[in-house]
Amino acid sequence: MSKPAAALACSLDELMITALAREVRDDTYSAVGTLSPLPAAGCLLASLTSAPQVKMIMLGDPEAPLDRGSSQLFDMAQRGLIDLFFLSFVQMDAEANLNLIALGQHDRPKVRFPGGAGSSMLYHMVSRVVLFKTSHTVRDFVPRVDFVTCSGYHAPLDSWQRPGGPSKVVTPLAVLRVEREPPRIVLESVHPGVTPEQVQENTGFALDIPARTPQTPPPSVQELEMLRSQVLPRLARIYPAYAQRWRERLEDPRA
Amino acid sequence: MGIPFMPVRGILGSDYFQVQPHFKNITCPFSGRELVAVKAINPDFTVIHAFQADTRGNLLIERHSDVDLALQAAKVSIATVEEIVEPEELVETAGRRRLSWLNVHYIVQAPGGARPTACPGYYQPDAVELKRYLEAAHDPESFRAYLDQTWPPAAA
Repeated sequence: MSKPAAALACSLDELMITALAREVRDDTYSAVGTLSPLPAAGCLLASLTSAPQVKMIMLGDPEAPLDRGSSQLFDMAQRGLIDLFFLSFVQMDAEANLNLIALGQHDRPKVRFPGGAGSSMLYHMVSRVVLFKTSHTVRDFVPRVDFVTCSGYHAPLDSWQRPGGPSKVVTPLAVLRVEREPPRIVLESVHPGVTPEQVQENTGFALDIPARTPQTPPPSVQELEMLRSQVLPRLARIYPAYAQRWRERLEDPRA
Repeated sequence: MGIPFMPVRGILGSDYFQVQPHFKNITCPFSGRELVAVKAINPDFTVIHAFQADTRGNLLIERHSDVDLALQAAKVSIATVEEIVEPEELVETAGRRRLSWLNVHYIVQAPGGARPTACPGYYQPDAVELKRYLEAAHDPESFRAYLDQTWPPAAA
């Protein structure tokens, strides 16, 4: 688990989980892919607070409302039914393109990743794709991705081929907002103890930085208590190793 | 299904079109709208691992899985299983669903067949072995050595 932000009663992960939870809308189909403990926790928190009627589809959750595998999620996305999907990436660029395939040349990669699975389709067909990344450096946010797995601004909005797309990016430093008109990536908020300059220094393209950047709202006392007492045990059924590290940190915050 | 491709919305603008000859732009013959045709994959063989098979060839598989699509797409489909049971002993649970023998050609009794990955209810993932596998898989030579060590070649 990452180090807590300075002078914050919660850990950085708990702050990011809360920021992700705030993107979940009530009474919608909201989906979380595999290897995504932070958005899974965010979805669970939202279901206990602001979005009690959210219809969660969490891949890997034994209780997910599925009869088959991810094909059911993909079919729903094709029909335009999914409001929210959480996605991570290897690289993101100034045009909101994502790379999930490889670093270096596609045919001679320096590093090959598991791949995009359905993400290049979901990046178009899900109304709002909220991105998350557990690191924020110039290696993650680059001027131009090595491979466009998911197309950003280059594929225009269109009710048939592109009804949705990227909306926010939650990182260990900040929350970014992806805008279309005009195309730009805006610094929406900085986490406590982080300055807009630090975010820009760690981003390989120019961010749109408002004159006054607000701070990312940390979890309320009630939200934090809910995260630790209710979300954590539920998350442990899907992500036991992550939940164990979370528990250890609560027992020994310096761990 | 026997169809040559699946029409899909989305994906446009991706570099997949530069490297993936199985994606083509097409026009819907009914609406005139743009679509992506994704070519069907028809494997010569599909091999999956299931919890159980019964003596009639029905399978018990993980519920949240699409392996039935892979079985159906193949020319020859093979299921390895932890155990073979009588038909009345093959029981669905919350996490496991029954799959008919219709698209299963061969069943191989292979306890531990998913190792070093997990088979829920039978065994956990083997982290030490997975790490050994990942290290060995870096180049063909060390991977060959790994395979020979793990499954010694049968004496000629």
